[in-house]
Amino acid sequence: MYLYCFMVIFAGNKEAFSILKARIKCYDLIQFIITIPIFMSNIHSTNFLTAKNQINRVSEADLLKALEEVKTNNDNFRKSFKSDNEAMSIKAGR
Amino acid sequence: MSYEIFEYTDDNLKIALDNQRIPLNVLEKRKHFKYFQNYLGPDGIVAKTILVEEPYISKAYLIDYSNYYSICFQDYKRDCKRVHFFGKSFDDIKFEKELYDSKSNFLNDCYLGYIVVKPLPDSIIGPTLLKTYEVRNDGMERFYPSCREYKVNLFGKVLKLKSLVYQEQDTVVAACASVAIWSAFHKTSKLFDTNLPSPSEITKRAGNLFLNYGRTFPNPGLDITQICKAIESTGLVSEYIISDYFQSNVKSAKRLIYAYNRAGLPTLLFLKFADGLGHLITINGYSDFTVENEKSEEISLLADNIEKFYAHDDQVGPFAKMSFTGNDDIQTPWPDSNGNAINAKIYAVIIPVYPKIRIKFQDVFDKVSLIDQIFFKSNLFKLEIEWDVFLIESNDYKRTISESENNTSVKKAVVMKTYPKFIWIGRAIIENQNLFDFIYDSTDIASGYFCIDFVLYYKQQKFKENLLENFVRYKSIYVDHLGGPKLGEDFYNKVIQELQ
Repeated sequence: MYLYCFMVIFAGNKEAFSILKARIKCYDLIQFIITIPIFMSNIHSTNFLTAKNQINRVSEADLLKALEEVKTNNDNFRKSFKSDNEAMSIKAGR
Repeated sequence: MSYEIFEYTDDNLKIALDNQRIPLNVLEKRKHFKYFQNYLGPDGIVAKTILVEEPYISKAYLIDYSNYYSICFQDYKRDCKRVHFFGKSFDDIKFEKELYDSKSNFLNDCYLGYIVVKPLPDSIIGPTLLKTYEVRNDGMERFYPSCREYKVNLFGKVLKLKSLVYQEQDTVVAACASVAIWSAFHKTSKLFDTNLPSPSEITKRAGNLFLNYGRTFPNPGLDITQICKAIESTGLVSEYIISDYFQSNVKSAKRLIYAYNRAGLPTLLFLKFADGLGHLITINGYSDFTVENEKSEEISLLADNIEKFYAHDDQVGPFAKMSFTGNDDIQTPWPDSNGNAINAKIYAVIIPVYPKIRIKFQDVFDKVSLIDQIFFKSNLFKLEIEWDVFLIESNDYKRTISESENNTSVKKAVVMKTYPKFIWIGRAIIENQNLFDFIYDSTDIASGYFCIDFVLYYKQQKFKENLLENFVRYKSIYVDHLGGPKLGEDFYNKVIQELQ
């Protein structure tokens, strides 16, 4: 159905128009109108997806190296959790 | 018992808060008075009527009275007065008509809360419950997850209010720390069914190991050991994090505070001022925020964008704004001698949690940050993923999913499942579109496979295909590999099944 519509709208295809006219029933038309916003929002919402050919096939070894870096950063934050003498001497009492 | 009704004006507010121990010209210069003037005024919750109820027996003050003031030579009164605020105008006749009409909701509908006025010479603001203001001037919302419902009895009429109790520090029986903990306990007692000690009892329970100066009463404040001890005395545990990172990278503190606050847990923030003095406040909410993160290798969390937290600051008032400066300081509403806001550093974060919540924010963050890195290196998305990492009661999680606009299959997949009482969520979001949730068991052990469920919201075919391909390609890293997210074989298969 979408294909025929696009052929009519964008290519002005007369053959497609006659096929479309023959196939469209009232129910189809309503269903079609209802699905337009969903269809349009789908087109919009997939905008954030990378095209298949642009997805990086990064090697497992390289990925592990990158993950090690993240892990080190996270560990450094954990290592910073320490209470010293100053922490024990300061009172919350302002 | 008697009452008096006044129209809401600044002068009448002064009269209502007068306890005969502080001259009115001193009272009007106090920070609290100015704060309440703004809060209750036309730019705040817009009070129209003041009702003064006197005498009023405040349980929290009565316990403090028996612990200290009753044996003073000076004659301190044991009862207080309670000042109620309403958002509609009415007089005595209208009030009594509505009071005795059991079917009328008039008083309840326009009720804004109360302030208890203590009969003390310095600390006069006792337990205070005030309505929060929800919508900001720019139309954005404010969220107060730590508020709870209170039932206020006024001459036999029950008035309901959602808030979190506040009071000014009593420099004798409870300094800022005890009062901040007391506010936090009002929420945790409801959440975890634990007991609710008064401020002076908190000071007593904190104990005094004499690692520091001062005595128990009069109390000069609590150190961190005492704060954590007071929390543990109620059967809760203290999630205590002290890190230099908070002072140089405030994002690390924002993430932590938000993650626990989403579940309603009030966070105790230990602030340190430039003069070396410490102060404790209770974070109870946060302001809505806009997300504007560029795509970057470093993980982005929704919480990074928070501009303001709301806190009970006993030196300022309830729901006081705490914003952030460019150099990772927190900007308090405290004025210096020139009237400018004083900045402070976040020194430590202390969260009173239920002992069964064993998995910490950092444990979940570690896992989520690794998944984010895999997606980034694979260039799976053109835009930055915003991760929403938070703790939530599983029934609340089910309710939000059930009330959401997700399709029935998503709702069914969540509401029919059995989860522990508290769960951690790692939610991936792009452009306000929820993609999926990783659900983590808060009762498990951090070295185990504590990810227990995967909820896919975004069912677009191309997205599912890309994600599936990524999971299959890096299976060994996802499942159980040094530096990997450690999902475990069984759970990994569940994710694959969901994506197919």
